[in-house]
Amino acid sequence: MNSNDPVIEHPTFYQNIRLMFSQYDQIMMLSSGRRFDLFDYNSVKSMANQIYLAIQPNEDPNMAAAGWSQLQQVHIMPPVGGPWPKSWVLTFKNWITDGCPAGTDTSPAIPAVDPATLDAFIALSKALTGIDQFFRFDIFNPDVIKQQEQELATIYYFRLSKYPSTSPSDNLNGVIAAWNSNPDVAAISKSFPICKDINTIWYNTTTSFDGFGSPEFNQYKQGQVWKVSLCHPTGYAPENTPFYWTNAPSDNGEFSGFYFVNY
Amino acid sequence: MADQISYDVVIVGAGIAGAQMAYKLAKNGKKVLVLEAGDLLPNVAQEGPVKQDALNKFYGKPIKDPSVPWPGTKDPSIPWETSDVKAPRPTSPGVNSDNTQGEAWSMAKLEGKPGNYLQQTGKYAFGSTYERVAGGTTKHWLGTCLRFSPDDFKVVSKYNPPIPGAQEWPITYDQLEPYYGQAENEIGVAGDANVDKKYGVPRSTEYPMGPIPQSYLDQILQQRLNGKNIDGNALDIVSTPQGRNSVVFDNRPACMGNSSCVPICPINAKYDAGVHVSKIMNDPTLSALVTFSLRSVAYQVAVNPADNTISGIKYKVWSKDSSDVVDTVAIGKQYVIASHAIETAKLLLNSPWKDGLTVANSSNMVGRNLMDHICLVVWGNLKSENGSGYFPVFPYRGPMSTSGIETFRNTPQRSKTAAFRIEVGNDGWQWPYGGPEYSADNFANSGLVGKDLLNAVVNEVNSQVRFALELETISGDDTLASRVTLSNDKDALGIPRPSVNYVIPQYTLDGYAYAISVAEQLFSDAMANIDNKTLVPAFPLDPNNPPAGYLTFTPSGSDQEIAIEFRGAGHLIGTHRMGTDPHLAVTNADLKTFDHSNLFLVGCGAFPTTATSNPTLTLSALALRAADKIIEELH
Repeated sequence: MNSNDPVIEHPTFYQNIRLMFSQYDQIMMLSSGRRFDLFDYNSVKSMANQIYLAIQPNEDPNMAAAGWSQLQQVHIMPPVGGPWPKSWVLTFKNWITDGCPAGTDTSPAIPAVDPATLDAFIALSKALTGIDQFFRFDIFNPDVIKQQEQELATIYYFRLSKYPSTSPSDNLNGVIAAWNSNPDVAAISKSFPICKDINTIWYNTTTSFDGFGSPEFNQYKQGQVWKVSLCHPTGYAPENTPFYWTNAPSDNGEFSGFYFVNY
Repeated sequence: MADQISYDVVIVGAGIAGAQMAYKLAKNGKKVLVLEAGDLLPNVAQEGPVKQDALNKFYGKPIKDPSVPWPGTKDPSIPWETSDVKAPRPTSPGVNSDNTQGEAWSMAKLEGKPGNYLQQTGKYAFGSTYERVAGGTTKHWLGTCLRFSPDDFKVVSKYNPPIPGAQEWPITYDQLEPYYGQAENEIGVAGDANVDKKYGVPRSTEYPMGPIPQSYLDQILQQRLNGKNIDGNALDIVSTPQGRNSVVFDNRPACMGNSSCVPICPINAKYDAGVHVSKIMNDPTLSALVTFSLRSVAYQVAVNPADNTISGIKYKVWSKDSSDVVDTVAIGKQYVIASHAIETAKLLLNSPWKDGLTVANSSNMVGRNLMDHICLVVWGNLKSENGSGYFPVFPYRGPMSTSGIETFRNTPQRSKTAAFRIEVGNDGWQWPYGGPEYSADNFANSGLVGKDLLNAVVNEVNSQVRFALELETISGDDTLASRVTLSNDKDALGIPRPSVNYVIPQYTLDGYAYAISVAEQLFSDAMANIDNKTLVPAFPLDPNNPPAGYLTFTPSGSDQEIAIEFRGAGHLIGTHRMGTDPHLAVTNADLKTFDHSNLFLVGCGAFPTTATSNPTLTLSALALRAADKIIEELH
């Protein structure tokens, strides 16, 4: 989408609408307590009317009705550099009029992993990394945490499956099998060099591993190193506490820059 | 061939100098053409997905060097003749080709290859880079907006440094002071006037907004260093003025501490010159007066032999969608070259004039005196005051720097060695070593697992501190050989590529040696109490082929050669210095060339000394002043 694009008569979410939201919009929505995801079709569809109000020009009294005035005044949203172009607002209106069609999600589908294998991989990963909970201080609903853990573990499972073995058993399924038979992490880490890469992928997911693939950019924010160190991924600080960096971060993540209520 | 439209002013380059001048000239009703070699990168995500694409590129790269999100890197496997990179830029010489798709400096030199876009022929590498897109190098600047001090403009006469042929500024602080205020307003500088007052920098205006609050890390260091000094210089950690918003200003939000100031502020709280490009393009009156000609690479300046005035600027317009290139000429009454130090010199050196001279170069000074603030970057872990373990300061939060130690910038030591400022980083070891992900990788690869791994990562990362001691260089006889010339090799448009022979003069190197002693004292138990993790280069280095970022030298008064690691600050200075003597300088104090009455050269290429302040605010002030001179000339 570009600011001088014409109005789209019949837009869809995946082809048109999602492209109009920026990371800043997303952060503002997540951190303002509204608890919906502007990059997620169902979230946006469920809140389409409120979003439509919110993207009106700043002086529109409907802004207040949509709750924007509750935000911290130093972080007024929108705009960053100006409101949405009129053509975008009309495109969004047309999308609502058409019943919020999804269009085609071109994101590649992630294949499933056997649930028992995935659970074992997650347990092994926690033992190796020393991290008891992967989604600290941004997700609090245990069901959502479990779902997110499984989604991320699935991605890592397939990346690590490309690990170039140096011995017949030094591979992901080999180490998971060893864990299932005897969950002694100290012994396993000595026998299976792949354990170093399991740790690396969880701590620093943007590492390019020779021979078994580079990550997608959207895995960057999932690196655990940020959360255990009580800071945030460089370039992504969704916390909207003004000047959070003047304080020491709390163990619950407040003032880390990463603190927000997601679900 | 000639463009039929004649403009009041033709500007080459839409970086901070070019964009702010175009804005000011248009506000005064002048018709302006801006030739920009690169493309327009929409400033805000709302103008298209480009910014988000740039962010995603940044997120996905393991090494987050300053140019990561921006275009202009050429795949070394593709010959220049068929490359579609028409506005190439240098790649960081210390970064290997896997990360930048450029050529590593030392490897290219060893193999006798021509190197990447910027060819280097010196004994050691010039470490700084620039961008060729609308917005220029502010697309990757940190945003530090220190003014020079009044003494910086008269350092030679006041301190008589031991520099043969040392050049003084042809302008005083008082003459430039009103324009500092204008520049601070155009950029949107958040600062504390009390700090300026404390260090003898007078102001006639207030900052447009209050300072960015100092970080927790700054506060801890201030507690440690309170009341202490080195050689009589107080170790006060004071707020740094910055071109990033502390409140909503100019329709841009306040800083949210994304900590990626270099190279990309995700929310545009940090100013970049794309702000002025957008201001012009979004204003019907201004956009009617200013034409941005994008993807337009100026390659030659033409001179009217009758009166030596500039008659036009030849440029090539390239296309994103085809290999078509259109060759044309821009014609105006006044001309401004605002292409940063290396590209401005390249353009002038590629422009024949008369009697074997090139344009604006009767002094033979064009391209010479290339300077930078070389940096001594030191880092370590803050130790607990009781002597056991490390003390957490929680870096990697907030702007990459919010404070500095400014007391070494203007002392009697300047009569012996170069001055420096000390930047305090909030960015841990990101610059010299790598961010927390590097610590995690290293501990994971060492075989640590479980809580041992977790504790090791947390212990190391939370206590990381980093300082950069950024040194002054003064142009003189020794910097004449530090120069930009034209290579015999061409770029994709057939334009000669720039070649650099970089020389750091003895006065600056002596300052570096003094800075080492200051850093050692700063890290000592009696001062900040830091476990020093700075990597000291292995010695002896091969003095004729050191790795990028290293060199050897013998400090004055010593017979012991030392090896140092130095870093570029990204401040490309010199190459068309200003002055009072047409035999020694290219422009006068108004930035008008001595040789051509309608040609102005702006940017920090005009500086005869680097002083110790980051140069952008001063270059902006000088450019805004030059705009006033041009308006006068047009009347």
